[in-house]
Amino acid sequence: MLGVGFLATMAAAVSSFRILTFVPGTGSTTTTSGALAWPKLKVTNVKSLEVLKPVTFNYPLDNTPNLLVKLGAKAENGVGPDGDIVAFSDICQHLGCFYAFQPSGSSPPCNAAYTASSPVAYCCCHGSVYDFLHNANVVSGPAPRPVPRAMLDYDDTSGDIYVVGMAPPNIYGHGPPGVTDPAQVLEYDLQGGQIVTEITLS
Amino acid sequence: MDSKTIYSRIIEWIDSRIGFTKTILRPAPEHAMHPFYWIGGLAVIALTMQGLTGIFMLLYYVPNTDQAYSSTVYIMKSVPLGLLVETLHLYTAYAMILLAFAHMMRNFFASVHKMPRELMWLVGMIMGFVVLSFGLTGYLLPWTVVSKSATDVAIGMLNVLPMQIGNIVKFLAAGSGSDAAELDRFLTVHTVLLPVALLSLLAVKLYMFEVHGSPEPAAGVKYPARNLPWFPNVFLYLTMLGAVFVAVMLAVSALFPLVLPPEFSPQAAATYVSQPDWYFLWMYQILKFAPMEGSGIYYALGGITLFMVLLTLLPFYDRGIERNPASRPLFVTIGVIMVAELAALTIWGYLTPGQVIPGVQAAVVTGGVAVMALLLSWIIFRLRRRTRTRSAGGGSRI
Repeated sequence: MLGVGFLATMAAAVSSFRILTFVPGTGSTTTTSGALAWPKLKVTNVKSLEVLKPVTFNYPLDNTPNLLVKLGAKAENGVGPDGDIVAFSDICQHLGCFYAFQPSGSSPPCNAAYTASSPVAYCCCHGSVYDFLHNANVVSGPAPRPVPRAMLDYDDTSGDIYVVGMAPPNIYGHGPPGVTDPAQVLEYDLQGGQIVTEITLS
Repeated sequence: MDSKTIYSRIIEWIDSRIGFTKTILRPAPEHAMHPFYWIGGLAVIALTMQGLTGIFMLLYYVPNTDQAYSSTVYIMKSVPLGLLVETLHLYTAYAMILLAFAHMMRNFFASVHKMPRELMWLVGMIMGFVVLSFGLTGYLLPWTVVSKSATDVAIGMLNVLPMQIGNIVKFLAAGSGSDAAELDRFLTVHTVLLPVALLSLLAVKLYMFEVHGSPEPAAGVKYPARNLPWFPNVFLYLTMLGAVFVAVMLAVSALFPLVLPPEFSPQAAATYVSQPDWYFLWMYQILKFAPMEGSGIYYALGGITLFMVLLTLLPFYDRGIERNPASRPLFVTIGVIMVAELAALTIWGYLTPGQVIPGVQAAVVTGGVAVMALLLSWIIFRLRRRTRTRSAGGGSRI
């Protein structure tokens, strides 16, 4: 009985790191019990983006980087004047490595035999490949699901690009205990980091 | 007037209270004056070196995410002999893992795990896992691109554990999930928890060693074995062996000082080819097999766990009284295949960073290695049998 009680206490302790709550389907966020909604933060301006030159920024936590890139070709759910700007969580969904963007025709540093046929992300830990033109779907490799999208808002008068949330919010290694299938994420708590209040590009 | 000197009287006084000469300083059999009998002893010497070099580095190391890397560089660049000590700590860790593995395989082939030493094997296996945990936790501390990525992968694997176990272990080992908590916990585990665990297990194992003594050779020794006194024979032998080991470690560390990968940042990690340290490469390679994609990771990690559990429980199913390797073709062959597969997967993993291995290729290579090891073992046993028949029942030596 003592053991069960201990496990229950630990599980409660693990799941008490409530920061963000996400309601799927509506695309909006709600606030529960004093927790925060997704912050809306300016990432950059479209004029300062170069085609196929990715930038990274931490969001929503200070240790959850995302990769934003202007692909130069219209992407599914892309924003901006050309519908080609996308941003995804930079943390691979396989085992949590940080991956790099690979434009068409380039090879990742770990695998000279692989040449990207379209703009992809290649994770050099175990070889997962995500298709950036198509919602970061897994093209090959061991990743079980796409990396979550950083939802972007584009202001076409100023050209400013804002980040307004993550969809789905299953950023690798920062989710609630035991939840691995994004389809089952009804309420989501991110843990292990500070919420960013300002975006710095790198 | 007593003719004894004051020194021998002091030593006798101490010995009669503690009993050194009846336990660890007792005579040893002649056949134990062989390196095979001291692999574990060398691992203990390595452990002592790790303690000394580790304490030295703790004087300078700053355990926070901003300064972990720069303080490591400071030890290398500015502290007198810092680079040597830091390199020594790394290479001696490697030596310790190799020695622990060699110690295990030697005892596997020489049947030392059999009655009455079953629990020594069990404790030894747990010590082996503690040594690997040392490697894993120590790897993170310099906060390099490689070490942080490898650690994140290891933490990520915990998600595969059923129920809430993974989250509980993750919470205990890495804290709330922030980088600062992860580094903090890993340092504590590496410098407090694991040393206490390893030294306690070592005490238990040495106690059992004192009870059972050093094992008789599995083959070819005339009984009763002649005993050699602890001083000077055993003492000199061990001192010589230990001195050679320390000298080799110092020489290698001085000749090939460690080169630290760049400091961790997500951007640096993304463009750097990250591989685990060599002793985890075999697992890394298994994870890259195409059939281990998606939910296949459960089979990969489940299989690796099963392998480790089976190896740990070896003395409870390999219970025959036969100890001569020449008469144990089944287990010797299993051992040869195991070593061959681990070596092949390690080298292969080193050569193919970040590359998924197609299922067919994985099956052909692992299967091919197994078949070759099997053939090798079979040929050796055939040759042995022929020589033994020819020498007309002469005592066989291994």
